[in-house]
Amino acid sequence: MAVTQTAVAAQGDLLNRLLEKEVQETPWLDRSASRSKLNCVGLPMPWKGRWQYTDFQALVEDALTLDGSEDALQACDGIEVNRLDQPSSEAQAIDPNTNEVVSEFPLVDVNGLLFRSGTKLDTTAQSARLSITDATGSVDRHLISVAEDANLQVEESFRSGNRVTLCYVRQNATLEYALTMPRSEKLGYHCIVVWLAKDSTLKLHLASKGSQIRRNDVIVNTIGKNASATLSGGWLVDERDHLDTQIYMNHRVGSTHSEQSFHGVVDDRARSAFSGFIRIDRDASASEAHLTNRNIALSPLARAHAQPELEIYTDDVICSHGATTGHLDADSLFMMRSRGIDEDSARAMLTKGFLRQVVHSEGGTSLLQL
Amino acid sequence: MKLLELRGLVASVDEKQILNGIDLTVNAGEVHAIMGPNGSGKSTLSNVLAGRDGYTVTEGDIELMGTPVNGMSVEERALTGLFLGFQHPIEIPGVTNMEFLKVAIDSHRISIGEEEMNTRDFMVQVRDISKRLELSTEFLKRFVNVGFSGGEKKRNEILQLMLLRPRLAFLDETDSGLDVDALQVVAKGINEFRSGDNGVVLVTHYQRLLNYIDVDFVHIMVNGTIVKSGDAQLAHEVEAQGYAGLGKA
Ligand SMILES: Nc1ncnc2c1ncn2[C@@H]1O[C@H](COP(=O)(O)OP(=O)(O)O)[C@@H](O)[C@H]1O
Ligand SMILES: [Mg+2]
Repeated sequence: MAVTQTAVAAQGDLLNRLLEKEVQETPWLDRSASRSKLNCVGLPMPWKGRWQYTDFQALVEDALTLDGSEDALQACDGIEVNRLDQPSSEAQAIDPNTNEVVSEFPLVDVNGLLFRSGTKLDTTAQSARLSITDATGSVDRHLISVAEDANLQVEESFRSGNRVTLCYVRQNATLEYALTMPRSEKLGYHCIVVWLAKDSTLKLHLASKGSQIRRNDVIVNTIGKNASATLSGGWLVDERDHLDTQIYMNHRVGSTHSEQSFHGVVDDRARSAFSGFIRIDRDASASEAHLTNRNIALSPLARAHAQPELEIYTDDVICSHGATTGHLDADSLFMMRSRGIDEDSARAMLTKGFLRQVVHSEGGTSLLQL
Repeated sequence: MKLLELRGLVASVDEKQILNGIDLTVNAGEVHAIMGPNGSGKSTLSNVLAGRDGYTVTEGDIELMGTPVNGMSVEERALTGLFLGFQHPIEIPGVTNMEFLKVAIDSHRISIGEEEMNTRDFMVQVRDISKRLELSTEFLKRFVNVGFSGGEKKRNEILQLMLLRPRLAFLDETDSGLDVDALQVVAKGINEFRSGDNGVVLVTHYQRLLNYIDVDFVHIMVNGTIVKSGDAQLAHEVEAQGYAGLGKA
């Protein structure tokens, strides 16, 4: 009981420090929504629920010490860029729902309260490209809008810090998003939230290593019929690193599709966690959602936690869902060794093969040395 | 030269005794056939020879190229010259046939103090073998055995055999599941491989493979032991009378 009270007090103190932190207001993104949500919902209990495997408080403390940086954006093609400190003529064009993110992801609001730098990005051409690079040690927030019928390719690299990217994919538009997360000694929180309008498409691909503490949230909402999301990727976490990946696939309207495949490898004393949450609303009939997550532990001290969750509120859906954790396939290993390949090399090849099944991006292939 | 010698081999799988005393000698230049009904222990024998986990020799000896295999790992046995043709070839998603073959051949070369094969020579050789086995070179880019038909998988086994050139090929039911055309291609590959320096053991359920490959010895295996040995004529007797007709030794 005493422990719980201390924990509650610590949470309260942390929340107060967050709410009292002085930050400059921005013309195009209001911090008040995040502030009032945190004020009302509070912070989650540590080591529970969605924060079972990741030190939530450490990530918030980290964000409180971080600064802003303006060097995150690199090549932009066919995009109008508005920096945080430039008043935008299109400020009003931002959907008020942008700030509405499920309450289980409070770090999105922590970011909304604290961000020091960021950009608002709108496609101006039919086909656009964008590259977002490491902005080590910053709290930044990006708002991407893909115009109707447009196609945007984003390549992003993230190492540490606190970054939230909110993406609006408008009618019949396509967003192809490749995220790579190289290893880091520091802490990192990364989140992508996507809203998919009617007939729009998301192809999100991620490849990651671990870091001291790394949490990666992906929240996808289908808000228009025939929207489709393909999410894939892989990670290799080793040494004493940590990686917690949480996907929240939210089918809010009918006739929407999602397909997810993720493979993870843990080695040494590393820890990985994956939670694939699929929610299908009452109004989302005739939707289809599939998820596979396979994890391999290469060393006896490595741990991979996998948790698929389903919440379905309508009968008219096709859904499949599976998460496994195991070892390299013994038959394949035997077969390779029977051809004279030594056990270590055979293991390395099988591990690569396992990740190659899901990692296709150039950045991911080179990061994971596939 | 003796490539393989088994003396009173008794072996278990997961603590269950399956091989009940096998004697067999294979010399260079010889082709042997081991025939027997399903469940007689043929695949168990090939796994025991290869040193697979879970297969334990409890009595008797195995010598490969005159050396006892005790304590030798799976890969050491392979590098000593043993090749196991799989009854059910294994799929390896994510690993291309090409890189798999390259690493396998390089492992062999490095073990005898040679350098890795240069990529050009490797490609020339692999393309040539593929052609002889009527396997499109497109198979080289695909993941090992993934999505291959039964016949393609077996031809892929023979491709590995022809590339690695082992001293002793122990081919477990390479003929099963093949149509006549594929059977002829596989037999052609084995005939091209065989020489005065190496030995072949064909494990088979049926006599039909022996229509395409001349064998020097035929052994009948029942219940984990060889009940009868003879020349090619014995295979025809089996075909005519069935295994039951041969009685127990
Ligand atoms: N892993 C195992 N555990 C227990 N028994 C096994 C195992 N594998 C094979 N066996 C048994 O060993 C016997 C021989 O099987 P196998 O060697 O596959 O025969 P064959 O190849 O001649 O058809 C069979 O009775 C089979 O059921
Ligand atoms: Mg068998």
